[in-house]
Amino acid sequence: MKHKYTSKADFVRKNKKKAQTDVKSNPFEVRINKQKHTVLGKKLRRFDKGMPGVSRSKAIKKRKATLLQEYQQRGKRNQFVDRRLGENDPEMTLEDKMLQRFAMERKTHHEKAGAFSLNEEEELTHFGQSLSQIEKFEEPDSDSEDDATGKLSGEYVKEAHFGGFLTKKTSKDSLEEKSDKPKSRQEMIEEIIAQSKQRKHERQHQKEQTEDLREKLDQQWAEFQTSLHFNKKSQPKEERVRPKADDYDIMVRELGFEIKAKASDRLKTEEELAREEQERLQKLEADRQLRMKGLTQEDIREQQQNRHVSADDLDDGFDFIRPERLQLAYKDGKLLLPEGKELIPSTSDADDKPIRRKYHSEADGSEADQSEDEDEGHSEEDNSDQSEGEGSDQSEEEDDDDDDGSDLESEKSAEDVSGEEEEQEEEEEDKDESEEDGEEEREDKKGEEAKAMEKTKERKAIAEAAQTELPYTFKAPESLKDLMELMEDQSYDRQLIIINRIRKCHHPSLAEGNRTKLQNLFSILLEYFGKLANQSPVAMEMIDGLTIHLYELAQQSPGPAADTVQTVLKNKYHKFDSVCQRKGRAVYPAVDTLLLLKLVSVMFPTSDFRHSVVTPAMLFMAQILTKCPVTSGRDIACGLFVCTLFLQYVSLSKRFVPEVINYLQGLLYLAVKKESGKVDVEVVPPFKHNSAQGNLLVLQEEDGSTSMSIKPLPLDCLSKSPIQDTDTDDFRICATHATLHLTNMFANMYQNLPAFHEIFSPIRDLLSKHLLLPAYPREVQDGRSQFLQLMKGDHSQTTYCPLQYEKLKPKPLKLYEPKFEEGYNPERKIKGSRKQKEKERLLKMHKREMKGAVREIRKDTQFLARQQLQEQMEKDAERKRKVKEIMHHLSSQEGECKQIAKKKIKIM
Amino acid sequence: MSADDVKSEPRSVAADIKRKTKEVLQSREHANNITDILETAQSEEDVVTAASLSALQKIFSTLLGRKEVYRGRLKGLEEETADPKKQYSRWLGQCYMDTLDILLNRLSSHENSDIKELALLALLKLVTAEGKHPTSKSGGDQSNFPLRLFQLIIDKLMSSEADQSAVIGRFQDYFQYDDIRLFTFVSLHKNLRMVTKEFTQHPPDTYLHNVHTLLSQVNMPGEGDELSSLYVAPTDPDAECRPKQLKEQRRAFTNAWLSFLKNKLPTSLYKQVLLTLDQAVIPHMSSPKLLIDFLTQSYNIGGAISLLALNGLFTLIYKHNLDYPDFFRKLYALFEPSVFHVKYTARFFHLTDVFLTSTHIPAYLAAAFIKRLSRLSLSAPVSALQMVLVLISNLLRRHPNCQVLVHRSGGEGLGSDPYDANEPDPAKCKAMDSSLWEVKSLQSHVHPDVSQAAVLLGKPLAPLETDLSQYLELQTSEMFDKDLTSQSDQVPLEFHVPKGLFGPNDQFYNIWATEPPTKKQKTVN
Repeated sequence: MKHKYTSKADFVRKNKKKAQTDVKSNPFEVRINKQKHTVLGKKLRRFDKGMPGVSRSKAIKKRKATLLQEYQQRGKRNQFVDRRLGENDPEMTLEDKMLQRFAMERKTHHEKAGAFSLNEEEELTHFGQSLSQIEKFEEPDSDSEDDATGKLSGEYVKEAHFGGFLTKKTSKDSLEEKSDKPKSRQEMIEEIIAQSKQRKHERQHQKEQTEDLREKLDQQWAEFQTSLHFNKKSQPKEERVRPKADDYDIMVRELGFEIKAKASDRLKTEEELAREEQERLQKLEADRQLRMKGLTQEDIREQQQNRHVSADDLDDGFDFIRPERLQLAYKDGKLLLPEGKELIPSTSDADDKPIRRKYHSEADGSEADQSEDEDEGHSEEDNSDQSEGEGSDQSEEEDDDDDDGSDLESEKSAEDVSGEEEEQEEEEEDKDESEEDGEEEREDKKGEEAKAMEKTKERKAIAEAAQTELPYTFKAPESLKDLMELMEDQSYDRQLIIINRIRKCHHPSLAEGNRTKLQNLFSILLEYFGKLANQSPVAMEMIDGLTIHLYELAQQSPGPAADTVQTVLKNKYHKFDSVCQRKGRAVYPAVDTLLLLKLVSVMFPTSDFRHSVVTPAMLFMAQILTKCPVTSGRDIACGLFVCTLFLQYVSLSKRFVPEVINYLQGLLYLAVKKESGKVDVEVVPPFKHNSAQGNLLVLQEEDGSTSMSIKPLPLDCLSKSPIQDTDTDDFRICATHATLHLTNMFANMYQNLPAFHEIFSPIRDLLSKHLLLPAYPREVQDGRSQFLQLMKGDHSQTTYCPLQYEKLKPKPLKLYEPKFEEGYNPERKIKGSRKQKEKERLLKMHKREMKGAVREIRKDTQFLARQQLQEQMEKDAERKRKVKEIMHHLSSQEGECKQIAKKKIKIM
Repeated sequence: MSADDVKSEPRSVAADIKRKTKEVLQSREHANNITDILETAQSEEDVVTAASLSALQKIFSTLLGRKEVYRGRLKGLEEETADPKKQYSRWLGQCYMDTLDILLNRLSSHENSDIKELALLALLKLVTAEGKHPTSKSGGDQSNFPLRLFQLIIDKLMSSEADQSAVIGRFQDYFQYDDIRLFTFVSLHKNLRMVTKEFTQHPPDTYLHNVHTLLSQVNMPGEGDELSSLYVAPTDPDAECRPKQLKEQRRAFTNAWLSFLKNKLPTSLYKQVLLTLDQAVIPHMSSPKLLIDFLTQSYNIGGAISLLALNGLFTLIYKHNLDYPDFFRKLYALFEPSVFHVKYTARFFHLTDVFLTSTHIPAYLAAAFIKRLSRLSLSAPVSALQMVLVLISNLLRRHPNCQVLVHRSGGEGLGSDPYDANEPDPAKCKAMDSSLWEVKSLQSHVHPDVSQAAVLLGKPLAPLETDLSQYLELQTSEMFDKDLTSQSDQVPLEFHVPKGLFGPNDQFYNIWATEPPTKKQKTVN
């Protein structure tokens, strides 16, 4: 069987070509959509112009070739596959096909024939001739030119090797050069390799040539040069024998190159510095206010932007944060005026400075005195360890103070300079011991030399006297153990110096990893802080020093510092909380926790609306106040301390802490004598009405304490083994006084809360009915009357004004003004992120493809239906024809039969 | 040598007992061995006791099976009967009585709980043995259950001296048998009546604990369960008998519980009972209304017990049509500052929420609760405040009339809060005239979440209620962890440079002696 077309694809392809050529020649088939408005320069879209008739017929043809074939073969299991050589290649001529087939035939024949031939070599042929015969001609195609190169030319290869007929001819080759015979793939590769080899060889050759040329040129130049040098022979020798530079020259040069004193900025006057500080503080204060309200910079910016709102924007569902919203939460007139009250601390700082300065000058004076003393004999001064030069230590201490002072004035940048300056001074004190490397020395020189010189003169004497000193550089400690090793047997002052030096040595600007080292130092110091705090008595001096260091380290890297504090807090809290969960109550935490909470208030702003360290800390404190039952004087002290902490935390934001009020009320309840009947005052847990410790704060002796002077509570009574006895009337009076004092402070703070009277009414009832305090000193009684006075104060009309919802801005009517957009571009109307756009694009594509597919399927079914109808009609027609034929046949038969019958009758 | 003897002795005695048991069971000749075993049962050694107990059990279950034991009354023991067989049977009957005495004794008081359990198991085995071969007098029912013996067991089990929880735990396995369950309740009821009479309603706590342990370990069959597993097989397996009737079971259960609850319970047990009442007891009672007295009494006690009674009471009101006057008034009275500090705060507020779900509650009542809640919030701990505020806002949504509490247009300033916090009647506390100034104060609460929740109440409310359940169990530790994790990348720092941990500017100055002691000395000098 022979197909007209070898494959469906060929069929289609051929038809396509044909159609294309046809269409171009027929302008009547082109159909163009009519445009409503003609726009100049606008390109016609894809679907505006087309040839519907042509494309329809094309589609039908395509279907006939594909769909119809499938349809016709739908019930067939077998398929006829044409595997004849070259039959699938439309480009192949008949002759090629025949040749190929012949070659194949021969090959198979060979294989079949030679399958059983033993020891007989195949007879190789070329063009039908046996190769053995050809070999007789020693050089079948010997050309003299080929001999010269020793290679066969490409052309020859093409023509002669195996005639090229075993390979397929590619279409390109056939198009370009019909006479040329195709090359096999291997040949081509070989050719390429040969070419590249040749090129490489050529390049090498060229390179060699240039090399040669250059050498030659060099030689020539050398010759030429010798002739030039002939004139001045002595010069090169002079150059080589340089005179030895003597010390003087070196000195002169060095001096010449040395950096002269740089022009620096004018020293700022005191007023300027103060003003700068004040401005800085003002700015920070404003920030703090914002944070307190829970607003961020972005919010502010948004608010400012939103102040001018166009009519169009009102419709887009954006809800503005109105500025009044948070004022309602923090209703406090004073806070709204940032310039008014809040600047008091900053001004006080400014005031501090002159005093500090004075102190320093005094210190300098005393230092000189001390140095004189030192000459006489330092044994009388330091009793503890004689080997150490006390004087020098003290001077260094003063230095530290000096640094801190400068820190106050101009933050960290100044600190670096002064720190380095200090190092330099110390270095010059005894050069033998200095281990500073060159880099630091150079930096030191940037400092003010003149000042340093003066000081060094002063110090010389002390330095000589100093026998042993602290080293000047320290390795950054890895753990608390390392630090303790460094600090071993040192006094607190010297420990602070060590910490200071560690910090200076590892300033982040000096080396890469220093920042992490300092962060590590922060956590170590925090640990040390806790350790110190748990000592009894508490070493406040050292703790103060540590606090300053911790504060400054936190300033350098806020994030990690906050993380560290958080982890410490978390550990402490979970320890506390697990006890709570187990027993339902807990004991007051140790001193280190309490002081840590205080430290939090020093390092972080406590007035923020939400702060990642302060808010948890406050939760912790609230938990302490609600979960720890009061069983001893120490508990009372701890509770009061936490209350004071709360006062500190909320002193700026004036936020409401119910736990503190409950606690203070409970403490006052403890001071009430319960013998006289039942006290009908509500108490909130952890306090109970009838607990064993209900009389902790009741005075034991009736009188005799009215004349006692009130002392502030000592921090020692916080520790678990207090030095001072808390079971005395003195302590009770002090604690009661502190409670009343705190109550007054809180009452003053919450005066403006609308539920002020409800909050404090239990305490008022207690104080007015039960706790009359006749036997107490005057101060305590004053505290009580002060509170009652405050509570008696005007039940003003304003406090009990009925509540109303916040007034919402009336929604303006919709204004249908056209919305203009600057630089509107209709092409790029989709706004949105890249992802969104991509999604939209894909969706659109999907939709289009879907539509196309549906259309195709519909057309397919239409085509098939048409086909089926046609077949049916053909079948019907065939049947009709056959029936007709049969009927015709029958009727003729019948006719004949009748005729015969008639004849018979006639015959009869 | 002697030590070795002592050591080996119990073992050998135990082996001896085993041998004797075998002999007894083989022939009557060795019947005297029973007395030996009865003697050894009094031994101090646990091993020996255990061996003899199990031996006795074995002997008598077999002998009961052979019907050789006389089980009538043993009054005319002295009078000699000529018939040696009868005499032997009488003697065996006496031995059996002794055995039971020993076993019950061991059950009620022995240091080793294993021996107790062993005694219990032996007794229960004997119960089956007796049940299989009933005398005409026992039971009086179709079920053949030896009630008299069982009553004795229960009496001993409910000891008023020792804590029997371990043995009761063992006994629990037998509750799968319907007859055991039923007769446990019956005998327990009898026992309770007797003990209550004896102690005049103040039985010892251990006894009550034992009873409660037993009662709480029974799991009652449900409505559709088949009641057919019997421990003691009846003579006629298909006959209807008491253990197979759910009604009977329930009646016995109810009786036992009611007679238990009549006693004065210690507080911890009281709370425990109330906690489980609505889940484990009320559904299985024949008529739950019988609990009303108990529940109302507990509700009137006040404090935590009231809170817990609320649960059972609610079930009665909700499912059994209990009409309880003054319910809301009493509920109102339960709101006091300590309510946030007890263990059952979440449960209580959940129930409060459920009680106040109905929108048919009068507005004044809802307003009273809202105002009460907001007043309490002034002294509430942080963890409870969010819950309270959400509850208030939900109540305001349910009762739009109450929204005057947060929004009253055109009102004039008042001299004081019209709400009377000391008025016990919610109808008279004038809550509707008041406003939620407390909530307004909470807008400046120290915790940001609370203050935000309070701020939301100052605005027109969104129509949908907030889900209360997520705030009910909120712990401070959860809030703590949440605040720790909600960390922004920028941590603001304090800008006032400190001069020490305590400074002259902070609030500690006057209250605490914060100056370092050395400096002070310096200044003094």
